[in-house]
Amino acid sequence: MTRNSREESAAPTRGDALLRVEGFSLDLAPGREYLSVLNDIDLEVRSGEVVGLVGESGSGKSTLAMSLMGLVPKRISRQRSGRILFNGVDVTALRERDLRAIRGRDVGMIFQEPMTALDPAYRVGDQVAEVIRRHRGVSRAEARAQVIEDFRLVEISDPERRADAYPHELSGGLRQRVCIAMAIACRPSLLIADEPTTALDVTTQAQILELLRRLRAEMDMSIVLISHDLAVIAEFCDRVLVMYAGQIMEQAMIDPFFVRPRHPYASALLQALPENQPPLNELSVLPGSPPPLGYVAPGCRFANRCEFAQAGRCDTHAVSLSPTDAGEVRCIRADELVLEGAGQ
Amino acid sequence: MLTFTIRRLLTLVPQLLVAALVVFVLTSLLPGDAAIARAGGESATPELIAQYRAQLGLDKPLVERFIDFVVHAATGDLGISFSTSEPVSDILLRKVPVTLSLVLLGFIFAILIALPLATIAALHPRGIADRISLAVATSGIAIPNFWFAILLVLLFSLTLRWLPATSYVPFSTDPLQWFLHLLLPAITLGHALAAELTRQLRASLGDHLRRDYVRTMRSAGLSEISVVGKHALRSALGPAVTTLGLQVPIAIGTCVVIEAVFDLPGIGSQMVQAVFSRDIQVLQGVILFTVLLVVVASFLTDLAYALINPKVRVQ
Ligand SMILES: Nc1ncnc2c1ncn2[C@@H]1O[C@H](COP(=O)(O)OP(=O)(O)OP(=O)(O)O)[C@@H](O)[C@H]1O
Ligand SMILES: [Mg+2]
Repeated sequence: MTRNSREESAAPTRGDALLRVEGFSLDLAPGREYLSVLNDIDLEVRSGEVVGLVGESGSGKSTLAMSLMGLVPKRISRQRSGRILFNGVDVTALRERDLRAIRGRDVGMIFQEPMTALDPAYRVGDQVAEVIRRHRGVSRAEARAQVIEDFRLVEISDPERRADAYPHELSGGLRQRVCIAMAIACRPSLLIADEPTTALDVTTQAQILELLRRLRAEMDMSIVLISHDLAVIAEFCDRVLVMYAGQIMEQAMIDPFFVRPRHPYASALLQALPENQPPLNELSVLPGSPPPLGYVAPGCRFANRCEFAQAGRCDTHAVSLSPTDAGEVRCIRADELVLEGAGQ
Repeated sequence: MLTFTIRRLLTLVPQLLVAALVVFVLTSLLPGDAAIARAGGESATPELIAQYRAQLGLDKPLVERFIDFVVHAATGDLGISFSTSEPVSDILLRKVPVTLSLVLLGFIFAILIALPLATIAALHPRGIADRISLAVATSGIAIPNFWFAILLVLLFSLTLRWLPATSYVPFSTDPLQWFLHLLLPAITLGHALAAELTRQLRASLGDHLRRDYVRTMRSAGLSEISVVGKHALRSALGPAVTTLGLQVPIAIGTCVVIEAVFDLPGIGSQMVQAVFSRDIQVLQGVILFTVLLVVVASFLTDLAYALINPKVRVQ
């Protein structure tokens, strides 16, 4: 991804950048002190594109996803630098009221836990209808009709009856479908899915991914799919972003990435994928553990776990992203190394 | 919801029967009896005491007396006061409205204090409202009610002369005077009740605001009013409603003190009077009423809880 200075048009056509994050850094304050959680994030999502975001637990994937729509509470966060351009508008500079108009209407979000993602006190149909009415200002009856239609779209059978159910009366898979219906109710141009299938069993997981794939094709929306399961990413995404300790380590088109990753961390992730076996969530092959939250190493953040690290080179200067054939990589040795991909 | 209500209503019958039994046994165990009191104390002749016993029906076996008690109570006949010879139901009709008004206003004040305070506190943890809510919670528990009441009287009645310090005006006579006379007592009671309610509501709303569904609602662009008021607060009210229900007996206990300080002719002061004059008949009536109040309150609590939480209804 090369940065160009071209102005984004208000309505991007296919292939243009719908979302662009430039040098975004964010600190969080879990306690009294601010700790760096996201560092110099650069990414681009073109319209119609499906981008995968992988990385170990705690690498900042969810925080990044929440930041994209200004959902990280201001009270505990501090933006250090950067911009987040959605349709050419800097989201980080928007007022809360304008952000709320975008959320749910232009950008839909779904999350990992379908069990708890819906309000237990209201019927699921009413919750989806509330979102529709909020953004479209239609009547109750119209919203209801739209809910039924959307429930059909996300393949919920018997939608009239299901709309009147409370969340606890539905299975995990159905609840996730309701969440998807809510997220796409206003036909957003971008869907952010934060581990949408992690909490589901394998069969349901496959069905939900299939549904997302179909919706994406029908509605021509872009998707950011967060997962720590590279097999899911491989199957689903056009491009992948690898995150480590709050930084993007590599971004590449999916096919070249799997054959020839450019970052040692990405390579380690790929090798941790057992062939022809259900993917493991634990990245057990990789020794060591990520740095504690807020700790900033003087050089490359991955250096202490990297088998290719060279003392005096890798641990002295912070590394920036540099272009590759298929994307970008944050490794000063990228050109010297030939790394192994998946399936030897 | 209807079947839930009916099922819950049916449980009221055994509850009330057990309550009646406990009330009856307890008042029968009270040392000294009304016959002795009537006859003029322990020094009266045994014949005179026996005569009063027979007259009051105290010589009958306990079981028979209990059945009489339940049958009569169910038809609204609670006997005749030993000391004033007035029907107990008449006494209750006169005194119950006073206490009910006080309890009702007290709860309204408690909610008026707790709801906004707890909501703002939960939205801005460690902010000013959070500190105030902590102060309210602490002072409501730490400051004795009679002391708080006396402070209010000193300030608003004696110094500022804004509000009356004593006595009661029925609602039917003059609603404004009714309200003004009950204002200080109700604030005293409300302050005591708000303590626990604020603490509870603050905690449960804080908890709900961190739930995933709140994140979902925010990510869908709903307004804060809807996210907090319609979604988070509704579920957070569940535990708070339970707390309110549990506070009804406490409120009645507090009324005894408050009615004494403000000289209100309510159930609380009647209860004290009945104990001192060994008026078992009146005491039974009073306690039966308070038990009824508590049982009804717990019924309403469950109903409110089921309204808030659809999961409860199916069980
Ligand atoms: N609200 C918060 N307050 C304080 N710290 C937070 C908050 N949210 C996240 N963090 C911290 O920020 C870091 C990044 O968390 P994040 O949830 O973004 O990681 P993740 O990559 O999504 O992990 P996972 O795969 O477990 O979902 C973690 O160390 C986490 O402890
Ligand atoms: Mg996450």
